[in-house]
Amino acid sequence: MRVGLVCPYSLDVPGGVQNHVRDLAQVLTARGHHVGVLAPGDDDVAHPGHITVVGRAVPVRYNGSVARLAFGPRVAARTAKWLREGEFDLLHVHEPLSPSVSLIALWAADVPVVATCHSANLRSRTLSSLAGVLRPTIEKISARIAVSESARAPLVEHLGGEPMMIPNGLFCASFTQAMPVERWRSPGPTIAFLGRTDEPRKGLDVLLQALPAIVECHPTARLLVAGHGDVDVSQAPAAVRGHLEVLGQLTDVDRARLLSSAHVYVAPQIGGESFGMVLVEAMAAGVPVVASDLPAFRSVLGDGAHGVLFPVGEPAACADAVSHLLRDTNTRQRLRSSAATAVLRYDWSRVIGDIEAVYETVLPPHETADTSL
Amino acid sequence: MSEGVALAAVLAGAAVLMALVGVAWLAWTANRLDKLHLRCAAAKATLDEAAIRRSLAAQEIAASGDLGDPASALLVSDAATATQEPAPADRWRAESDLTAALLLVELPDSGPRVASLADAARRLMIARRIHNDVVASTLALRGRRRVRWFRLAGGATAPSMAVFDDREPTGTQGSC
Repeated sequence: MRVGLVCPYSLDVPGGVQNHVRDLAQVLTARGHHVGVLAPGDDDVAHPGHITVVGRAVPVRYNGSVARLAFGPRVAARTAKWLREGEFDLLHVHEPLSPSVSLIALWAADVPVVATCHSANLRSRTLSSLAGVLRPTIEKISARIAVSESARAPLVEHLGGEPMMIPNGLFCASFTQAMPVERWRSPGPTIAFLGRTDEPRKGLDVLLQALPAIVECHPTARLLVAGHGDVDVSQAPAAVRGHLEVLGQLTDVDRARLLSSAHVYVAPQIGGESFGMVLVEAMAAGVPVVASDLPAFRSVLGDGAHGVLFPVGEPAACADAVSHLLRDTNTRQRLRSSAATAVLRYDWSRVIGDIEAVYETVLPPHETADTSL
Repeated sequence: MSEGVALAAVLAGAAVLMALVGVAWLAWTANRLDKLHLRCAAAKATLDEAAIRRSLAAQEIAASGDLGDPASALLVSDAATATQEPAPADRWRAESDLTAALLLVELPDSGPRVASLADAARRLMIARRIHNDVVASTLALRGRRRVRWFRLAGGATAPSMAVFDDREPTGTQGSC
């Protein structure tokens, strides 16, 4: 079938939604579908043939954080052109409740639409003051998908109904088969942190505060910090600066190799996480996970069955959890094997089946019959 | 002898007079300060009202479909709603965000709704400047030694500046 995917964020910038759309396009194409992707982006930058850009995204404050989005009459005109020329059987928009090209495509669509909500929320008062524009637009969504419980809540609150839960997909094999790197493994034990180091909500500070207590139990322990942004080493307690290694931003391959090398992965985020894909990546790579007890993380970790949870933002509890886990080989082994099974539900082989089933249900019967793949 | 008594009487009289003048001066200052506080409160009320008018005008434009696409409408409507939410700490940032949203979208060139938004934005800008002028005068007077030493401000809380981006939406200047 001919599927049009709409991404609200520029594909040139990494991010959970962008990665999902990019991978979904790849997997759908591999399965014989014709896929077109619409996203914000620079006209000057070369993009693969199936990607159409609608113009540069501008930073806007929406929903309490700054997002780079594209909108306006010119974007609307280019979206309409893309829809016309794409001759899609079906449109799959991501994050339709954001002021973005996704909402514009939904508004202009005249084919069945599947919508996936990742995290964007909508104020009730915004919805009521804009009901005349938004309600008829949102009504066009034939199937609603939420990637997690926290993404599902606003959908139910504003639109009612029963959205389906289909998580973001991951190519698990690229993590299970990642080769460990010796210098990231020994001298051990090594603790991995992944994520932007300059965003307080990623919680690096919590982990740095926990490090002295960990080093006290495990004098050879090292913390490996990977991710975009500078690390002010001086903010780490002086006694443990020698136990801290800043790796900077890693390639996707090296991320996977870091995870498969480490003895424990710590996710000390203090909020704002709606999914927790990096936890799934760690689980796939076979590294035991210690994570703050956020709803999204608790859900990925099966209430603690596939990893250890500690109270959000508490360095002492974090240090305890890590120290215990590093000492306890049996528990690490148990977590590894239960995680290995749990991540299968996020593997693209599984996720794509769920998504295709939604597509087929949404399409009028004769169209499904037409697609002889 | 009688000369000495006369001198003492004159000195005492002068002291009493000076004290009286001092008290009168303090009373006059307290009165000035009181009036400034009242003007601050009035200016704040005007500013709040102007902000609400702009917010409602923005919401109306968003809901009317004048912006051409629903994404622009959602952006403006959300920013406008945020200014009406009771969150005093973020109050001025929400106003700045609405200004930014109105500058980002493409407003129609003319029409009653755009004219009313332009008028509301202009009045908000004026209200903010007037408010901050009187707040600046009040804070300056509150900072004087006599006001602090004699606690002339009493229990009145110090007013604070309204700091936000009050630029008018582009393309609407002169249309009101």
